[in-house]
Amino acid sequence: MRNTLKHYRETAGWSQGELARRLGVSRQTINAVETDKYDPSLPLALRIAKLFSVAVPDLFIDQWEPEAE
Amino acid sequence: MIEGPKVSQGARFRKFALQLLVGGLVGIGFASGMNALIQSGALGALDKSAMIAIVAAVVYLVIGLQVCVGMALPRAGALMLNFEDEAELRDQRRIMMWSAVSMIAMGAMLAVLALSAPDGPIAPAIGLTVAVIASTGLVWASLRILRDMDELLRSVTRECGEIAYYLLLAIGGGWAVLAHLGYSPSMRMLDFITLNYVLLLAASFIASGRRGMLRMR
Repeated sequence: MRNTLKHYRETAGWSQGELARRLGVSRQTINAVETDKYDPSLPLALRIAKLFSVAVPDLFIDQWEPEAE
Repeated sequence: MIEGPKVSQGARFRKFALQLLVGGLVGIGFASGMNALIQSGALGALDKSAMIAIVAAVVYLVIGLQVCVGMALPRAGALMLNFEDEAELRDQRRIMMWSAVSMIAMGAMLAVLALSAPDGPIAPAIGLTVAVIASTGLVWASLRILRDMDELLRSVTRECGEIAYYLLLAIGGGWAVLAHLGYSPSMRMLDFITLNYVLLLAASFIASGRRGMLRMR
């Protein structure tokens, strides 16, 4: 799933290591999320959103749309 | 600085070359040593199954020892073990340490089983004792690793288990079908153990590769 994590992290001026430390995960996890190799769990996605004060859909972009009735 | 130190193509190549060199030298060293030992007859008359098991055991031992060396020399270790820098290696130190213990325990167990009677010089009772001790160490190390894993590593571990299971089903199951129908020789128990080890290692590479963890950093 495409995401804007790198954009928000860079805007905050944090390195991957700094973000990883704040979230309590490894640097590899941040790298895997930013390169679209790994979709984080819902709790981690919520924590990331809270950290950047944005909504989850601003961070993780899903193209799916419900079918029109 | 946002993403930590930028790694140039040259630095990446040097890192790759170092990994290749260290892996190659250690692998050739171990293989030559084992070959000389086997040729000397000190290990008894080992058959093909035992030889393959020993090769697999050496791969596990070499990886485990490489991780130990990497932790003892963090600067070189960050290059060898594909970490971005020493700080990242230090962050992952506990996981790496227990991973090394697991790899060495698995390698030692497989080597001892391959060298146990009837073909090898080690008595079955000693082989069993080593297998029990190594298995206990492996379970203990795995539980310690689980404590320190974050969600990415847990996910990779689960995927590794799934992939290994399907590989075993395809390869081991396929072999069993052929052997049952008389189209191939039956699998020996040592072959089955070796197959499990090899497929687990292959699965771990596939699972971590899918998450981009084998990409040169």
